[in-house]
Amino acid sequence: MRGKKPHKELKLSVPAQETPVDKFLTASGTFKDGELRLNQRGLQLISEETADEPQSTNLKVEDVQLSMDDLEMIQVIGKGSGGIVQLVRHKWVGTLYALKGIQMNIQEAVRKQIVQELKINQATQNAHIVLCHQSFYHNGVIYLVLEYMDRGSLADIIKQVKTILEPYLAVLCKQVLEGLLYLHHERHVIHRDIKPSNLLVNRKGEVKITDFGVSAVLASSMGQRDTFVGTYNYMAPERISGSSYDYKSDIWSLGLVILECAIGRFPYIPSEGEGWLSFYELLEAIVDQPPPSAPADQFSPEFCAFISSCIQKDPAERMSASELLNHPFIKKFEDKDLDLRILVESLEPPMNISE
Amino acid sequence: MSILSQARSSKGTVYWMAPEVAKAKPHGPPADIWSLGCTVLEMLTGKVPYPDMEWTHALLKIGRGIPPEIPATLSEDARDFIIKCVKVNPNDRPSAAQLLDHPFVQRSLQHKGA
Repeated sequence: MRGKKPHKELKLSVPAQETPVDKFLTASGTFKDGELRLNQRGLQLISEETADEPQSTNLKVEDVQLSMDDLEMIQVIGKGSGGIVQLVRHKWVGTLYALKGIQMNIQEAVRKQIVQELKINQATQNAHIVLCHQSFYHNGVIYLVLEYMDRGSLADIIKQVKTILEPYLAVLCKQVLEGLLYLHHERHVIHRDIKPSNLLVNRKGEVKITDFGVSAVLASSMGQRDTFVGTYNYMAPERISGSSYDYKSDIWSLGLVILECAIGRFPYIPSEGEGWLSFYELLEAIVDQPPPSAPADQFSPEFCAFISSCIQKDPAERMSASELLNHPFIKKFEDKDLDLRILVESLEPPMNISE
Repeated sequence: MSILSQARSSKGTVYWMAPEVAKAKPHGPPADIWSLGCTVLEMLTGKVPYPDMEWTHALLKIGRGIPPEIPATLSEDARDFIIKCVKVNPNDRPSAAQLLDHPFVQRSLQHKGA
């Protein structure tokens, strides 16, 4: 009788998980890293000396009073960059906030970046950066309580108006440049995702930059998945081609955004339509072809020069945020007491909300 | 198909895209063979193809016909299998039926049946 030999089992060795969950998560669901504690009650930085008696430090008084339980959800107002954004109201005070929930990533390198960004968030204070009031951690999700910008984003605006006139563009540019000046020269960070949907507007006509820090760290850990969805590419040519890049890459992105607002279409799209250009061809055009420009027969020389200063292919040829703030195009309208309030008030808000 | 529709349909899968897919050209079954080669490469290396590249850089490289790098540390059979899958010209790639005869596959089957 011939005995049948048993099949040799296939074996797959799985690398041990980098760090056990209990290294960064306590039994009660608090995310911890070094002196940082993050849970439903908010963010705390606990000094080592008083580890037995946890005390919060570096928190503004107003933020200590903010907790997840104080917020009631009104509606979802956006999705992007790996998370969902909800409009929430403080139950007692009535203040509106945008609450952004982002799935936590447990890869150690990403987690370290998140911790770093959460600490830096506490220090971010600039009139042209969307303020993060508080952050929480609950059930694997990091929540950021953000300043609510009640007129939506620049993307919402250009959907309605198609083009924006030069005086308003100058005011818009000035505010964004002041935000970039802060990010580049005080915070020493590159935003990396300047585009119309990341420039938010309120009814006072203020323009503020959003979606950097924690949001950007988490988005990048998803392989830029969401950046690829439904948006043109505002990425600088040196970044697309794999060269090193710096603050000037944000300036390229800003230049494309402003030119788009001026001419009413994304600058690399032919005016006849979108039929012939694939996404790959778009990237190749950005890398290989001369940069787009503002038509000289439709725009002022100052505006044309400003756009040119932003979207030079060679980053060394691009102006910095501080240089651009002194550009003739910006200076031209500076003393005319213009603001965007008139523009934004004439438009429909992104959704109906009763306050 | 508009650019934005293309972007939408390409969600998250740039690193495994065949060149003809990346360039939005007509494509057929050989595109799956490219993706298979990339998947085998990923399982053997623990990294996506074109690791440490932003998605735009990877898309540009794929579209320009630059196949992913295959480490010398892989076995000869594995490297040959992947190299055959990631030929830039779709007509040069083997079919699934042909790949079933490749030593990388056959050797494993023989070993299992021994």
